[in-house]
Amino acid sequence: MAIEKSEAIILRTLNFRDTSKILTAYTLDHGLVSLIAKGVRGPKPRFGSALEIFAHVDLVYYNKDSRDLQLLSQASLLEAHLGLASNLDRYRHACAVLEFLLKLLSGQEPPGKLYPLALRTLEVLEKAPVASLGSLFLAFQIKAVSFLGHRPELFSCISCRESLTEPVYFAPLHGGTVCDNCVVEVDGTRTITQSQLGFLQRLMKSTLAELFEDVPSSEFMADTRGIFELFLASQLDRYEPSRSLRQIPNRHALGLREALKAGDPLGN
Amino acid sequence: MQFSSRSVESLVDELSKLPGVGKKSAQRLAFFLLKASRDDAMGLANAIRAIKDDVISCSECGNFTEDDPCMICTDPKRSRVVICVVEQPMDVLAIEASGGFRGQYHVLRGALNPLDKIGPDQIRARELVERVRRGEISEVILATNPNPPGEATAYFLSDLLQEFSVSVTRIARGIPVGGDLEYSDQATLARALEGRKPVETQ
Repeated sequence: MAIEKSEAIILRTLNFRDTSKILTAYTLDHGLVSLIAKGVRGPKPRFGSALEIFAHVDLVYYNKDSRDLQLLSQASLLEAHLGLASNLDRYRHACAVLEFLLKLLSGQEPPGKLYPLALRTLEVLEKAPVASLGSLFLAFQIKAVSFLGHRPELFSCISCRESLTEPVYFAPLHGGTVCDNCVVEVDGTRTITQSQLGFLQRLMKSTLAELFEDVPSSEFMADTRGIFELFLASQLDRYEPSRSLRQIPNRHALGLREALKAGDPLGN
Repeated sequence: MQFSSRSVESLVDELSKLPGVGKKSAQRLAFFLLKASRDDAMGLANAIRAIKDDVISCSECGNFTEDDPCMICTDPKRSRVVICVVEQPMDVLAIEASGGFRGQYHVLRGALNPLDKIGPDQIRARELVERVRRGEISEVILATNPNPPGEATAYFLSDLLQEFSVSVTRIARGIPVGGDLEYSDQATLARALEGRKPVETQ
């Protein structure tokens, strides 16, 4: 049994028995790890807020390859990301990041650029203007799938490799953009406007901090997200649209109150 | 393990389903019940039957009760203008044990956590708004857990209650009584500093 030490992001927690917790942590050195933290919910919690979702922590655990659940020995908090739960929009987008990682990671990924990206995304979602959260989450998804080998082609035609001229098409199944000359040869294409393509290119090339001012209209955002969701669904086996964004309402308080008055379900 | 009695085996199986009870503990409990008097054993059996047959959810606060509305909701000695919102019935017991609250409760039966498939429709938010809408309430104390789902739920509820003329407050977070600053993590310390209060002098 080896003692492992790694920096990690807590993706999921589950209360287990009276005082224990089962955690899913995304570690910098060993990818996805499931851990049991014994006796951490008792009258004297041992690790404070280090074992809550969004927390950036240093973990020490006993690793045994023959078992699925490793035993947590130490956890110290590096950053709690408390701001993510103090606003419902930040919370739903941060939960969507964790949800995406849980679906995307199989536990076998070698250390790479995805961990720093995930950490940076949580930091940015905590501080960015609320209106830019949708763009930031989409940028995270594009960069994350790129790091895992599913980079969408957005700058040239996937068929002839020539640069793009209008009109441009998008082929989710084939992983990118198609020019007007090749569209008849590629199946499952759909049109993509120049502004939608430019937006996706910007999300792919820019740093997250550069996107703070990128606030498209909600209609434009929904359409562009729809195109990228088709890409994700056709490229990733285990992909499902984010439950966090769907289940937690994004309407501001007035909208929620109106929904209550009208007797609508809160989550719709 | 092979038991000489199917009834004992069945009891061990059932007891080992309880939280914190493993196979060995379940065997010890089963043999204890075998040796106990008939009255004691039947007392336990009847108590288990009663909680499944008679205990319901209070239509007012959502807590477990046998009478609807529950004893707390109908207690004339308790304030009817302050509601303390908690996640689970166990939290009511904890606050009652503190002896520091004499108002009404509202049990949400969960906290917003999309990773566990709990959204606004799965918690009793609508019922809370309905209680506040009736107009008798002057203060809503949000006593959800101080973790991300609990904080997000408190934020969601305070947003929802904005249109009503009620004071919405959040329980304090910080260093526990009897704790040491030295052993507190940075998040707890940060919250304690945020929630600091002026020292009252005589």
